[in-house]
This record gives sequence, structure tokens and C-alpha cells, in this order.
Amino acid sequence: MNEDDEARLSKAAMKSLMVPAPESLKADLKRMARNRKPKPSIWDGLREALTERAWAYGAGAAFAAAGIGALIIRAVPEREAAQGVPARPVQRLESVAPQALADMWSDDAGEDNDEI
Amino acid sequence: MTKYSLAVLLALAALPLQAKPRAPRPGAEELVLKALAGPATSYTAVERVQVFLPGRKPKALKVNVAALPGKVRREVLPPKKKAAPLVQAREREKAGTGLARLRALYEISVSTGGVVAKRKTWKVELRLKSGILRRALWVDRDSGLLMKRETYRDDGSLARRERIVKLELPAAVEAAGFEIESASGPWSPDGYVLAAEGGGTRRYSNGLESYVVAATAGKIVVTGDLAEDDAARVRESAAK
Repeated sequence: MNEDDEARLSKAAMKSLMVPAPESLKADLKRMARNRKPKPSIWDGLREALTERAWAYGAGAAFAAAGIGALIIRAVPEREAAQGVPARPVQRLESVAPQALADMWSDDAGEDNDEI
Repeated sequence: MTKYSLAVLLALAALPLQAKPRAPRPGAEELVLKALAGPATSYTAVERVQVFLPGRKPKALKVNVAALPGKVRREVLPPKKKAAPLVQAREREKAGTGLARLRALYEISVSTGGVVAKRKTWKVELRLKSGILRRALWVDRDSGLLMKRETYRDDGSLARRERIVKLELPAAVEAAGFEIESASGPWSPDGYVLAAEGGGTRRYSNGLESYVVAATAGKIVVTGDLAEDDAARVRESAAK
């Protein structure tokens, strides 16, 4: 028996001794690896969903704006108290000089908005 | 598409479900009547009056308003705090009379208005029979309070804007300070005073704008910077 035959025989013996792996081993190993891997948080998933495609940026911005808007609407009180009018003696406009009335006006930006 | 993308899309799709159903649009005359009558409760407000003169910088003044049902007290605040404020207390005109005047002069239409001083409004447009838009009114949907009024020139440019910028409604308002004095002359729009008199004419001014009331051949003629409805009211009161 030459060396080549010996090597071939030992290889065949080794092969016959090897126990075939169970069918479920691969699946078990995959499951174990998955369990060992840290789970992505819900926020990471949400962030990924909002940034993975171009349209998702718009959707994400709209969603965030809607959320912030809802928060602001809830936070701002329905009615803000207006300045009270102090009780003062009534002075008829007719008794006021027109120049005094002209001085009542001041320069304005012409904006159409509420008082801040 | 991941489950997160799906969740975002579902959340966005659900937003319109939160929207309130649209309020039914009121009739134009019903709304104007409500605006002319004023709220049934007392209120306080800060109003900004802006005048847009052609080729000049806009001018503005601030008015503190306090109102009881049927009565309004306006206190014009001078820019210099040391100057005395000008106060005017008036009774509201009967809503039916005001509406009749507006109906005779304008075509009235209603549309959805925006939000003024945090209140949802209806917008009322007053167009002359020729089709020119003369005034636009923003009326509070709940109380009927006139929140904003814009007056336009014949060319469509904005001449004047009166807008409530701060409002407390309802508000506790004391009856003191609402003593109504009998008017010495014809009715004048808010803020106008008699500036000159002579030769059968009277000139009224608010410091920026003016109009003249003249009696010629037993007829009252009003000329100047007044919208048709204000001029008609001046004529009616001068004829009495």
C-alpha cells in the first residue's frame, strides 16, 4: 500500500466517522445569532423609515410639523386676556384740536397680524 | 417598505380624520345683522387702525375698546404716553337700520374668513352695484363681533384697515365711563372731529383723512374720504 492509498483510506475513514449535522442546526444557529444581536430601538427604526427614501423626508417633516402644531395648539390658552381699559373721565373727540389728532398717528409697517 | 414606513404613512393618513367637520356658512344678511348688533356680552379689546395713503408710508394708531351690550367705548392711545388719551363712548346703531343702508348700497356676499385674534371668522364682502369691492368685514363666527374691516379705493388698493389685535370676550366691564353725551352735529365715523366750519360747510378730520358736509339748496352733500355707507349715514343724520 503506497502513501497515496493510505491518505485516501484515512480520508474515507474520517468521512465515515463524521456525524451528519442535524437539519435544524443551521436554523438554530441563525436564531441564536439573531437573539444575540442587539435589537434596533423603535426610534432607530422610525428614523430609518423617515430617511431611507427621498419622499420620506417630506413625510417626516409633515409628521413632525403636525405633532409640533398639535402641541402648540394644546399649550396656548384659548383666550389671552386683553388689556383692560382703565376708567377715565370721558373726553369728547369734538373738543380735541385736529393737530392733536394728527399727532395720534405714527409710522407703521402696514402688517396685518395680531399683537404679540 | 418597512413596518416603520407603514406606521408613518398610516399616521399621516389618519390626520385628516381629526379635522372638525365644516361649519355651515350663514346667510349674508343674517351675519351682517349679527355684526351690527355686536356681541350679547361685554368685552375688551385692543384695535389697530391703519391708514394707507397713496405714495406715503402707512400710518397707524391704537385704540382700547371696551363694550357693553349696545354700547362701545373707544380710547385712542397717543404714541407719546404723556399725552392724554381721547375717549369716545357711543351707542350702537340699530342693526336693522344699518343693514337696510348696506343693502341699498352694496351686494353682500359671505365666504370663509381666516383667524383674527385667535378667533375663526366669516368674511363678508360689500361690493358696489358696479362690482367694485368697497369693504371687507371679518366677523367672529361665535359672537358676531366685527374683528377686522378693510376699506378699498375704486382701483382696488387698500385704503384703511381696522383690526382687533387682542380680545377678551366675555370680559368684566364696569358701566362707568359709558355716559353717552348728545351729539352736537351730524354723526361722524369713529375718530373724526369737526376741524372747520363756515359758509354752510363743515369739515371733519381724523388727522389724516377728511370729509366735508355741505348744505346746498336744502340738500346735504358729503364729499371726501368716506365709503358710501358712512357718507350715507352722515347725510341721514345731518338731514334730521
